[in-house]
Amino acid sequence: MRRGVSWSMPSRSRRAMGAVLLAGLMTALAACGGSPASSSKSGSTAPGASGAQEQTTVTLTLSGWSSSPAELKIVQDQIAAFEKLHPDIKVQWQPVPGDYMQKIQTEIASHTEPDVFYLDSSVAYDLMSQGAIQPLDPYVAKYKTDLSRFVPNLLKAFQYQGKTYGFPKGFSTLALVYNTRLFQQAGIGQPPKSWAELEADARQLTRNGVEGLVMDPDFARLGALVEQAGGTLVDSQGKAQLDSPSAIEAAAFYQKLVREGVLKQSKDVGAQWAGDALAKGKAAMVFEGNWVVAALRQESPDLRWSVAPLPQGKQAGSLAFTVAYVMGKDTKHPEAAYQLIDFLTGPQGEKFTEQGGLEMPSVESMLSTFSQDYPEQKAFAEAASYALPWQLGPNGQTVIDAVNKALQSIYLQGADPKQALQQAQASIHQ
Amino acid sequence: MEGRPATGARLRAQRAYAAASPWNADRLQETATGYLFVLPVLAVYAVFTVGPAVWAAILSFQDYNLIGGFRGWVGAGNYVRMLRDPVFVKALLNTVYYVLGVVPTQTFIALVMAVVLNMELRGRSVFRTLYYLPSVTSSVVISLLFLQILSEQGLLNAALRALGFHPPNWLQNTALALPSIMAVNVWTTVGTMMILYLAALQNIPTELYEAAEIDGASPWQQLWHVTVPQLRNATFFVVTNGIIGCFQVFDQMFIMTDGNGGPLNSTMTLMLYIYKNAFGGYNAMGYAAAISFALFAMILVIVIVQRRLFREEAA
Repeated sequence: MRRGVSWSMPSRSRRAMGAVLLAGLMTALAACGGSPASSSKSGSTAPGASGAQEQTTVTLTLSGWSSSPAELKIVQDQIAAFEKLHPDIKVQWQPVPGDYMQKIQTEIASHTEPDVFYLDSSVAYDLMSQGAIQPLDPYVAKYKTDLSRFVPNLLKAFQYQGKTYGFPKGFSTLALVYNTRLFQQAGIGQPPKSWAELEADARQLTRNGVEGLVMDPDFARLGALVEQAGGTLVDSQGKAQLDSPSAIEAAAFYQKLVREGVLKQSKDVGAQWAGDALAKGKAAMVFEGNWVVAALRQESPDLRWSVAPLPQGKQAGSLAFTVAYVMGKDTKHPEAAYQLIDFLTGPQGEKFTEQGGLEMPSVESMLSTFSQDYPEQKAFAEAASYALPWQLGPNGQTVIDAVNKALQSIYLQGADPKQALQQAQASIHQ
Repeated sequence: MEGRPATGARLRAQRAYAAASPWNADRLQETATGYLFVLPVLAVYAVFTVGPAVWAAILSFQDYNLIGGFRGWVGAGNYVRMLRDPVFVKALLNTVYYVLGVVPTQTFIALVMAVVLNMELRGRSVFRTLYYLPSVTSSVVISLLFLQILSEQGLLNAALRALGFHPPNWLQNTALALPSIMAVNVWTTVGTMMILYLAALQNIPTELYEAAEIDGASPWQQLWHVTVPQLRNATFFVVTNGIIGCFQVFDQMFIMTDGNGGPLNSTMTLMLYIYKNAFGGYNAMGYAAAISFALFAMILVIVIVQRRLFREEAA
């Protein structure tokens, strides 16, 4: 669903497809150099005679990924609506096939990045702290943008040292997605509401080759348990906190379910990811986000499933995965770029996101409309108020890999959760 | 062939003439023409190989990443960091394990296959083609195929289950993931090595075998005392290329174990770790450059030692 981003559908086939595309692109790129980017830049600055022409057209480049025709259509509709409103600004959509961040960061290094582009919250910290993107505050003040329109937790993921660097374009949260037929067969009327119920239900549902709960040793899922145990992913300074008592408690609960034999990772049931295991009828319950809906409908249209809020520990907890539109530091048209960002993430642009139903609109007031339009996704929208943004501070990818290795050692080797997480924490502070 | 001595004589005469008058116009023109001919290759080599290599050497002493750019000189900091980095050490050990496992195996199998397919067998060209096929197939495609074959519910496990075994999840097992990929790689490259051996086998003069036969050497003795020594150059080439290729293994790990180093970094290799640091989200291009140079130094030392060993044997 989202390329080059670790949290959503971690399907290997997608990565592999990316590799194939990359291999092809490499030869293509070697031949044509950087001409597309440079031509669009020069084209946009050509009519630079100030005031001589009334209708000076500015061309903005906009990059992101696009993994389905439905997703592509939403962006195209948004762009069309924006261009209609701003006839002096043209927007060129340049989707990135393959590994998204790999391309963007090379472009940043060579000062050829797009004017506006997608940025996932998990890597946002590094780009903000190292000045690779522009703070939007001067324009927020100038255009009197009301930032309170956003779901508060989402905006926080794109703020650093009091400045705002991006506006969230939409988001997904984790909820409990379960196979209703398997629940009926096991005689369970209600989805589990607490850890104890989750454990009991998982035990009851594990039979006939079905796993009660399929959940990968991945912090992008276990992070929800951490919040449920009363903790957070980062400390007050925004740095990763992998060995907090809550994190250890969450990992210990995970290990307990593994030891009882009621929880398996997707690859051990022959699935690519947990949603795939649910679609294949190998899992009764999974923790997944809004992206699972389209995947289930496509892969297994006859499957009967439902979505409920995640079970609670000491408190309710979930993760919010969000992507923002940010402004490249080298853009020649910051004003136009800001107008585009503001439009795409404002009520007019977000309307397309809301109607698309692939992810939830970042504008808080539109969440209730989303729940009405997509009642089956209501539980995802309900998590918006408490879900923690998926961000682990500096060197996000390094931290994610370190904690995931710790979780793997807990899953695969029965390692002690406390020791494994403390080791992970020590390794990221070298 | 026939023209060779004549050309050589002419060249020698020209050289003698040129040596007598160093600024002779003919010689200058000849030199210029020569450089003109190699210029395109030199230019490409300079721009795409030498230039980046020099730049990487500079980067390896910097705190540099793609999104933040230059963030200061760190001296040998990146090189010291390697010694304290458990993931680097793991990647190094995995890579060495990989080389030690793959190179001897593929060399041996390739030799056996080449010797067999050099015999007068029915349909040997068919077998030659079949064995060579994996080598001309993209490693990405092969990795994708084996990802399916080796997965928990894959072809291999289905076959093993049908036979009554309880097969493991090959690519998710810390002890088996790397050996599984090693086996795939042997299967892939053995064809290329076999072709090299086949070519070398056909260059061995038949007189040697006839002489050995007259001296009463058995076929096994002939293989060991005639064929293997005669293949020394081919073996050097096969082993050297095998070592270089194996040290740089990347695509198989990138695709078959998610590009994250597999379960508990059991398939993390040096190249994959370089990639992760440079482009894969770790934002440490300077460190990646330093590891690249460490890898370069390792390969260089191994090849030099190996050359010396082969020379000594020849002497």
